[in-house]
Amino acid sequence: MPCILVSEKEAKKLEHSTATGSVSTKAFISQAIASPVSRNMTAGYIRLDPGYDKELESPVDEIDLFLEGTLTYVCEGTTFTARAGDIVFIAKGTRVRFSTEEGCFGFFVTYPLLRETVEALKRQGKV
Amino acid sequence: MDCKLIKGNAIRFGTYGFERINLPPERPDYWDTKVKVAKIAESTATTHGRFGVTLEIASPCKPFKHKFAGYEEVVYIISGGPLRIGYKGEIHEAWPGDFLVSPMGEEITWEVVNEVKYITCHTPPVDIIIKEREEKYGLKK
Repeated sequence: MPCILVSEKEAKKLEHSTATGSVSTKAFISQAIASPVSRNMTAGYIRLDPGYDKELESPVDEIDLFLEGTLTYVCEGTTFTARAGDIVFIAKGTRVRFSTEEGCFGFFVTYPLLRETVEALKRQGKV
Repeated sequence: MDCKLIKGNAIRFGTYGFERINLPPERPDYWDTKVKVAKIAESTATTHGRFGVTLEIASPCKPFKHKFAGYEEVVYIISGGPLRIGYKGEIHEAWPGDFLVSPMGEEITWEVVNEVKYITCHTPPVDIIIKEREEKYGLKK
């Protein structure tokens, strides 16, 4: 496997997110780093448009670094809002409600691979 | 289960044990950059202990060889740089906004032209990497 550099321009080619198993009209991601380049992690950019509001159980461990906008998390009775420069860690299996009035943009990494994990869950009928 | 906010203005940097793993240049996983590190997620952050995250600031350095002996790393450049990575005769310049993946077992050259800040995700996490190196090379804590 090579050592891969993905430029910002290439990494910002966003598509409608199917990360939760269904297409969201307000969520866009790029999977700039994914299989087979990485055997273990998926990384890319994420954009959530104003009005995005969804609750889901994270199928992977995830880290988000915010670059623009805000995103509010409601998780096990705790509410907080992440802004540019903040980092959020979500452990696999955590149920979180995500919402944003103004929209947000940032960088994410998941462990293990996102697409393969979601496809496995789909095969098991869990998403 | 956990969902944790780390406020950007509350992040503090330290050495995180990197100073303990200075290895002689003949070692394949020799590391020759001064790095300030902030722990974001260690092995205890997950149930499986295989994923970790740090925020790092690396000082300028000349190119040196480094082998990703027992881990895989995804790097996202936040600011500064460029970071020059040499791989199989080619030099790649990483600037803010770029991503880099360095898979296990690959040898690269690493050069920091100007101070660079990046977030880096490892499997296994850095605390495990440091522990394994200390054990492998008999380094004192």
